[in-house]
Order: sequence, then C-alpha cells, then structure tokens
Amino acid sequence: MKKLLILLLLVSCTTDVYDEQPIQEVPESLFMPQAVGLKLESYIVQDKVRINTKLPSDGDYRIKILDFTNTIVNQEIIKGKEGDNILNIYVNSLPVSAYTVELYTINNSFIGRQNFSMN
Amino acid sequence: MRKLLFLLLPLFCLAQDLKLDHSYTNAEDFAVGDTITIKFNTIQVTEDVDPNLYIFDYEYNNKLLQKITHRFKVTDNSANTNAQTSLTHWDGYKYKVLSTYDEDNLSAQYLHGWFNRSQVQGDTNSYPTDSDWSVERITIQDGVGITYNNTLIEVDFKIKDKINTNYSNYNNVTHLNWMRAEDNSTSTQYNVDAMQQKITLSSVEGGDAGSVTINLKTENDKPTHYKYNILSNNNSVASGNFDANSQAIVTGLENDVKYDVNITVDNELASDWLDDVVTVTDVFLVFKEAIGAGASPGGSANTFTHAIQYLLGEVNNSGNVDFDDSYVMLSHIMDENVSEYFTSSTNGAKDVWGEKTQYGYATDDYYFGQKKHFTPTDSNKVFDFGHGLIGDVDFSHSFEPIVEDDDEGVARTPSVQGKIENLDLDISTSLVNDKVELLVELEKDYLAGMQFVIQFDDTILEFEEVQFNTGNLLTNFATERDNKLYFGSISVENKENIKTGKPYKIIFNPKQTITNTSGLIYFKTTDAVTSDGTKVILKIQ
Repeated sequence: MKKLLILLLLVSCTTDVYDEQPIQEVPESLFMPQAVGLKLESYIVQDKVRINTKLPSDGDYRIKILDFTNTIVNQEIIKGKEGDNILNIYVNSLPVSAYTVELYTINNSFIGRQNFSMN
Repeated sequence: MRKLLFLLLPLFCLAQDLKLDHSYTNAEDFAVGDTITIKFNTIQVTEDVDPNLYIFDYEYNNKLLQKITHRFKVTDNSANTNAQTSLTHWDGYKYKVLSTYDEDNLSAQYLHGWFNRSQVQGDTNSYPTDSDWSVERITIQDGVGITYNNTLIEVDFKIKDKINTNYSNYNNVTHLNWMRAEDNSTSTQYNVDAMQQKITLSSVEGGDAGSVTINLKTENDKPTHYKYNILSNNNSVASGNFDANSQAIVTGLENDVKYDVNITVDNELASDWLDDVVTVTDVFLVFKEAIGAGASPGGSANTFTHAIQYLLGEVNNSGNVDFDDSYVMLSHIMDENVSEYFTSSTNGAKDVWGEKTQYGYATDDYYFGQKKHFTPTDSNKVFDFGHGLIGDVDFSHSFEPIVEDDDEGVARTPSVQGKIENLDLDISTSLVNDKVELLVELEKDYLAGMQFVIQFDDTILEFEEVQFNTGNLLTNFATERDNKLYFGSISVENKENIKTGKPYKIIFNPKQTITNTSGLIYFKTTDAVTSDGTKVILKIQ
C-alpha cells in the first residue's frame, strides 16, 4: 500500500510535456467549413485584407495574385501550418483593379481561389 | 415514389434562385449623341434566398456606346445603406461564353466559364482580346441581404455614330457575362439566370455623316495618353486625346480638303511609363546592329529588319546607329541620361508617326514613311496612323510597320514582334528573418539581357539592396526611383549569358510589423533578350 502511494505521488508530480502549438483564433468572417481552401474577409479591398489559408499540412505554399489577363503580378512563398493561417494581402502597391488570389502547394498543385476588387 | 423524388432532386438543385436584369430607363426613339441610362437589378425567384455578396461582369460595345459615368444606387435603399461597392473597367476584351452551359445561366458561367475556366481543356481563356468591347466588373457586399427589385447601379452611355464602324445596327450592344451571388456568412452560392441578357437599341436615328475617325496604331496599352492635333494651313481645327479604344472621332472637317495631323504623347500623363520604353532588348538590338552581328555574333549582316529601326535607334543625333547609341541606351537603363534625343521621363516622348500603310517605308516625299496628312472624301472617312517612339527599336511601345511584299516579291520578316519567345520564370517574395526577400529563379542560360521593374509599397517597405549572382562578364544595374526598382543585367560584349539559378535577390526592410508579404511588391514589367537578339516574354509561374 505504501509502495502504491509513493508510486501515485511520483506520477502526480510528473510534469507533462506537450508540444504546444499556438492556437490561432479564426474570426467568424474567415471561418471555413471546408478542410482546406482560401477565404477573404472582404471582396472589396482598401489598403489590406485579411485572408485565411487553410492548409492540409505544415509546409511551404504559394499565394499568387493575378490580374485580369491572368498574369501573375505578385507571388509569395509562405511557411504555413496545418489548418487555419490568418494572413494579409496588402494592396497599396497594386494598380486599382480587380484581382484573383490563388493558393497552391510549393509544387504548384492548386488548393483554392478567390477574387477581390480594389476601391 | 422514392425513385420519383430522386429523379426530381436534380431539377430542384439546378433551379434558379434569382435573376439579374438590366434595361434602359429612357423612352425609345434614340438618336446618335443621346445619353441613355442602363440600370441593373436583381429579381427574387426562390423564397429565403438572401445573398449579401454580388459580383458580376457585363460588357458593352465601345464602338456603338461611349461610357460617360456610373452611379451606385444600392445604398439609396434603406436596407443597404452600408453596402460596399466597387466597379472595375477594362477595354479591349470580350467574354467568351462557355458553350457547355446555357449563356443565360450566369452562375454556371461564373463558376465554370470564368472562375474555373483554366480547367476547361482547350478553352481556357474566358476573356480574349477584342477591341470593340469593354468589360466592367461590379462588386457589392453588405452585412445583410441585398434587397431585390431595387436598382443596384445605373450606367450612362452616349450613343455613337455607327457610320465609321463595322456595325450596321445597334443590336446586342450590351451583354451580361456572369454573376456570383452568395450568402457570404455561410458561403452559400445561389443560382442566377439572366433576365434581359442583351440590350438592343432598335431605332437609332441621325448620325453625322461628316465625322472622321482617326485610329491610333501602337503596341502601347495607354492610348488615352496620346494627343492629336489636326491642322489646315497650319491652323489647328481640332484637337484632343484619343479615347480608350485608340480612336479620335473628329467632326467639322470638310471633304476633299487635305489636313495635317500631329500625334504626340502627353508627357505628363505618360510620366509613369516613359522610362519603360527603352529596355535591355533595345540596347542589345542596337549593340548588335552596331557591330554588324546579324543573326549570329561575329558576322557582318544587319540585325534590323525594318528601315524605321534606324530612325528609332538613332538616339544621339549623330546620323548613324553605332556603339554610341547603344551606350546612350545602356546609360539610360543604368539611370544616367546622357542624350536628349530619345524617349525617357527626363527627355519626354520623341514621337514618330505616319499613315499606316506608308509608315516605315521611306520615299522622297516621306522621311521614313512619315506621311502625316489625310484627305477625307465621301467614301473615305477612316484613317489609321502608326506611332513610334525614338529608342524603341523592339516596338514594345510602337507600331511595327505592316509586312508587305517588297519590289522583289520577298516578304519582309517582322523584326521583333513576329518572333517572340516565352520563358517561364519563378519570382516570389517571402519573409526571411524579419526582412522581405524577392527571389528570381532562372532555369535557362540563353539570356543575354534581362530587366525587371517592380513597384513596392513604400509606406511599409524600405529598399535595402540587390544581390547579383549573374556571371562575371555581365553588367548589372539596380536603380530606385520613387517606389519603383529597376534592376537587371546585360551582356554588353555578348560573351556570356545570365547564369541559371538565382541571379537576383532583392532585400527590403519592413518599416512596421508584417505577417507576410502578399501584395507588397507588384511585378510591373519584365523584359529579356536572347544572345541572338530574340525578344523573350517572361511568364511568371
């Protein structure tokens, strides 16, 4: 019995070590029911817009911005984590127009697409 | 019964939820010059369908209608006073309906005909170029449902005279292309059909048979930056700017009277692109011409294939195209302006123009084919004029003379525009150790010159440096002007090409905390040339 108590005491005093991942809070406006994809907080943009890139796994991904003629005018490579990743698209350097945003894996496999217009 | 339900289910799923309509608000009996107003609105078909996001494209025939202005009306409606609105305009494109879906099924045309068009095998381009049409994209979003039956937007147009067009009537002058209607809070997309998809103006009277059309011919996509001045006996009788469709419609001219026309770039409007006219391709072509390299280095043949390139490449007023001209142009891309005789933001535009069929072909009467006059007659009221810019030997911003058989019956080969190559390129930005890095990755080693112009958000980024890894014999350059960065390389002696790998790394310091880099840098223009003088279009992948 004493041995059991000592054992229980040792177990209760052991510190559990978790590989803790910061949990990113997803605002309702960027919530996505799908397992993966891309969502914009607004479809009319000034200055910048928040986006949710929901990814299948940790790794490098491409965010491409295309103009009306489907020419890539900006491309970012991000280090993403599995699940929701809240990021920004800054638009002040872009000419005022309408654009398409596309999300790809680093090897250019398509994940999601959205479009926005600038004011 | 269950089988019947299964059979009916697809019909319910495909049912339309709402309609998009557009119609003119004016009384009929139109005349040329009249202003018409076209209103757009939605009509509810299915109950409890409550979209709060509308994005739709429509197009209009810009040869028959001239857009004047637009007014969003959705915010006049008490339920949608906080709605956000946006309108984007493009000239020179026409929607290609995806024929596997009904033309009036606007939501299917959106989803398959535009949004996912890249996945349609053999028919991936939803917006081919068409100079007769202009496209507008309207976006409306609100926190609450956008009400039906109320006008969303009104657009005013002026009816143009069809006399100088290829159209015999005013049928189908507008077209609804596609629409996305969505409840953004639940990502529910609704089915939209077109009500009146195209507008026809059935009876348009009048028209000024005396109007003359001047068409501007240029590779430049900024026709509104070009001015015309029509003179009779050295007195100006009409002047203005070309419209977005590269046209000037001029009235008040007389038949059988010879008029001179001056076509010049408005330096103030063009200040943003004048420095993009002369690039590494122009430098390289002039250099090759100067050494008489022809199709391969070391020869004695000509590189130029149009006579007018000798005028466009003569940038120091010496009378010849030689090494000094290539030096002047090289200095320009390295941010040194050492001559006043070529097109740049410092010098302004140096204009060359002439009637299209004569332009570029010299005669005793017309220096390098610059026939600068026209004579309207009863049967001819449309005149085309080519325009070029001194320094632009690759015709990137200039009209390339039309190809015709010469006296010996041999077809002249277009010099640059006719033999352009494409090259895939990887350019990307990323956040590395709290700095923004832009990387260019190149897989082929046949480029003798390459140039980039990027525009960055200077409220957030500060340019730090360019790291070159291009090769030992290359001349590299990087210049910051306002919020633009010009950088690249050229093999001046044509002895070494740009190395493959990562020839350029650009580093910026963020002025504030940023989460990532999307949109901070705009890839404005690129230009490249191979060692044999072929212009290369860099396609970013």
